[in-house]
Amino acid sequence: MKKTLMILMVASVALTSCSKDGCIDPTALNYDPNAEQEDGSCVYVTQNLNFTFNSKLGAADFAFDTEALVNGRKVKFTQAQMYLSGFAFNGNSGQYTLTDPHLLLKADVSEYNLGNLPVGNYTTFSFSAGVDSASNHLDPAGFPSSSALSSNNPDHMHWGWDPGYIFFVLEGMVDTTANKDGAANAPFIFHVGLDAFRVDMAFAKQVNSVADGITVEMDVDWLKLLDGTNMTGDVSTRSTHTSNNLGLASLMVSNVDGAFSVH
Amino acid sequence: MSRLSLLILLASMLVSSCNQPDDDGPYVTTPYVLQIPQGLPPMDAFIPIDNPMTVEGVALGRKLFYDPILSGDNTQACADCHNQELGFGDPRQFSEGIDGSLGNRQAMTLINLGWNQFGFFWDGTEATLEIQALKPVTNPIEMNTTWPEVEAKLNADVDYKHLFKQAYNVDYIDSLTVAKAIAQFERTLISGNSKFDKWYNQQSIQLSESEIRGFILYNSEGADCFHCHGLGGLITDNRFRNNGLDADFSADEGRYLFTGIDADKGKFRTPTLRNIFMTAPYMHDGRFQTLEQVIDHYSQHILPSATIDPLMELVGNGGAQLTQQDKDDLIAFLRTFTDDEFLANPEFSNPKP
Repeated sequence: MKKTLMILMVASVALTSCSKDGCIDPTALNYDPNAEQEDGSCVYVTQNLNFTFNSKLGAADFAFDTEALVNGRKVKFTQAQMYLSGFAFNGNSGQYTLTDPHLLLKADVSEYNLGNLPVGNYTTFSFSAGVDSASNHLDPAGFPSSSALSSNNPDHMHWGWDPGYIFFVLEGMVDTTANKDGAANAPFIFHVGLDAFRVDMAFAKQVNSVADGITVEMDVDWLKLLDGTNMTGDVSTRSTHTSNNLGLASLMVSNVDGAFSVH
Repeated sequence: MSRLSLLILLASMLVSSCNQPDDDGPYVTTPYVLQIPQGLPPMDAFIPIDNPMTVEGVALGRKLFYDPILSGDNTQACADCHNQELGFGDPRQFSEGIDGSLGNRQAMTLINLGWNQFGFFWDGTEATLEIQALKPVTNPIEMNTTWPEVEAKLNADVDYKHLFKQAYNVDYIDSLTVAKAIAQFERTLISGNSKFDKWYNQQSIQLSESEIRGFILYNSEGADCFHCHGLGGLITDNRFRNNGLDADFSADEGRYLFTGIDADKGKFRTPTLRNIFMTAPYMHDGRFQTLEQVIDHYSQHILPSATIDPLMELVGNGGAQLTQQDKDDLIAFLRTFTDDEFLANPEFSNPKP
């Protein structure tokens, strides 16, 4: 028995050294400098990937029920959150897409853990505002409770609405007086969804691996999402549920990319 | 060393054998498997690890729920203000305690509570079902007793001694274990087989034209119920909101009384609409006797205030301005949330014949 095993081992070593296949990625644990052809055997050390999203109201830090100005009008947020999905990192070892791609960004929470990213050198990363089109049409009761999309997630944004999830929600109160000198006491509501309104964003950022995890720090200015609005007594200037007011929803969507920046 | 560990082993065997009761046999419980209807998510994540669902625990909780032993003068059980046929609600505007005292909020229904993540009662003051279950017993305007008194009564009862031993392996019955058993029973009170479910989740029946029109109103900005009550699952978001009932909150400041945060003034929990036709009167103070009155509120009478929920987006006009036809259709749809199987489920009823 022992002899057979020995023979097998020797044979396998011999076989390996004959072919020049192996892991050709220098960032992998088992990088083989003699290998000529990638055989998919690379093993990586992964690191904990964290995102910090600093939520802002213009230059100020974000706060609910706190006045800020949009186009000279006082606004106060009572709700601000957005699904982000499809996180991917690009670098010299190619692209790596995170396995649990959905995150629910809340304006009053800054720290998010996105699981593991292989150690490597990355130069750009990308993600989308919204839910990927496949997940967008699944039953929210079917996701595991830990998922941002699960109806067990206390902040989930699926209300049985046919076209799927709401991608982002902004709610609050606004001053609608003509002279912009009143109180923020009329509701504004922006509920934006639809597959076509997912916004893909890419950012340049050198992310170098370190042993104890990496944190990518970004700023999110929630006021920017309201750029171009003029909220008045007319409800249609300050309310969209997407399909009932596509124009206003499109305006919001066009503001998404500009609201995110690498810190 | 090995002699010492042998000693410890022997000692522990001795201790565990001491735990074996003479008459009850070994402590073995049977897992209680919740039957989750289509359209509702799993509940597992919300069941406390120190109170797993067991057949014995649920049966004990059910017995306690219907037993007036929990009240000061042995006249009132949980079930007296939580009537199964009425969605475990109370038809009275304010429930009456053992001394005839009245509360100032309407008794809540007990439907699908196992999924609630936002605390219990109208203002969310109690974090878990277990903690919540302790409260009515000692509330002077409800069962008006003390836990030491209740514990003394339960520990003097041979049946309860046996049942608690079976379910929780305890020799002394304390308040926390009573609450755990009641919470287990409450987690079984799952409603998900209404006409609505058979149509929307199971797709086995059709709704009438009027019900469909009501559904469209419910699930659109027409009547706009779904933003807070959702669709398909719990039929509530369990959140705390000011729905414009009052402009002045001096009568009841709602969640503010618990949190002390100004923005919480006048906010109360969104209740589930499951079995809503059976759970009158409505609102935290039971001010509306009928669904017509509720819909009239959202249609015409929403009042502005500093903490009005932005989802009451038509507050400027008083509401959604529904026609009589809209209102009739909406009520027809709301009635499809009635789950006759839940309201008559023999597993939820008084276990005493």
